[in-house]
Amino acid sequence: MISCSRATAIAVIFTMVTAGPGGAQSLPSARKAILDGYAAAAKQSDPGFHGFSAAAGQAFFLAHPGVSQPETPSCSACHTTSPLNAGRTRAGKDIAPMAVSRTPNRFTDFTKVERWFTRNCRTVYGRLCTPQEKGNFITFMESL
Amino acid sequence: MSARLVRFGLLALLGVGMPAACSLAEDGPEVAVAIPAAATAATSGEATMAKECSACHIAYDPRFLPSRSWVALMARLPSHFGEDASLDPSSTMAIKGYLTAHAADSRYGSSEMLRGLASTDVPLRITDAPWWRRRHRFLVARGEASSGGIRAAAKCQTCHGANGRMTDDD
Repeated sequence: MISCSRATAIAVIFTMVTAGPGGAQSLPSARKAILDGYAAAAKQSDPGFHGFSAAAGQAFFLAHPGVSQPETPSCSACHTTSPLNAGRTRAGKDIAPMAVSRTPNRFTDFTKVERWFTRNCRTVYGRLCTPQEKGNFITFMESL
Repeated sequence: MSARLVRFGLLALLGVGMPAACSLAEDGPEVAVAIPAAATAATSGEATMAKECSACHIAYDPRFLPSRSWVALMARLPSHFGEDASLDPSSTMAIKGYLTAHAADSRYGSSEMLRGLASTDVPLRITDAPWWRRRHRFLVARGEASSGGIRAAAKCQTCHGANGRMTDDD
């Protein structure tokens, strides 16, 4: 039979392995890992990539690309023009503010981040967003 | 079942009891092992539906539509009333299973929910279901069930409380 201290050590390691992103990691480091991933992908498609821009993220957030349904012309249609505000879905549910300063666990769960970029980029822009655009967006949300 | 739930399940199986017993027996680093009490409940289609669907709207009562409508809706989540609501395959299956098993034409439904509905009718909007239009004639008459419906009629919670479900008083 294994000793208690050994069993405890195994439990620690197991907890670390199973906790996954957001569990063992702090929220800022989980967010940084996601941004680093987008940076690596952006660099791969554009060797001239030189980092993310909060200003570009803001422009992307406010833009009306003109390809969507009338109800969803822009990110700000549901999230309001300031990410510091709570938003509202078309069906009347509240959306927590996008700004990291208001909702600290924003952009810390990669699966969730990808799911909502996929859905909302298709809804508003009619296409998937690029890693550069996703990184700009998160950088903007971190800057407020 | 999501990967996270699998991990919780494994954690619960392997972790139960051990750290607590050890902390009595010897000094050493305490390990907090989180064992979610509702891990099994959270794997159900109902819990998945409540979590995923209610991100955008109330989790509508499955009895509101026949199972064929839920099948059709779940098959076209990437084009869900003008928005992309795509979902991973396992969550989609779990939710579809729950909705169809509790639909208007399941044993949980009633003849009232099916009256006026031809067997070939596949309403995609709850506000198009005959039972809904009968019970909400005043909204239909005001035009709130058609144009701008998503802003008015689909917000069951406006009149029916937080979860928008039917009560015996309705």
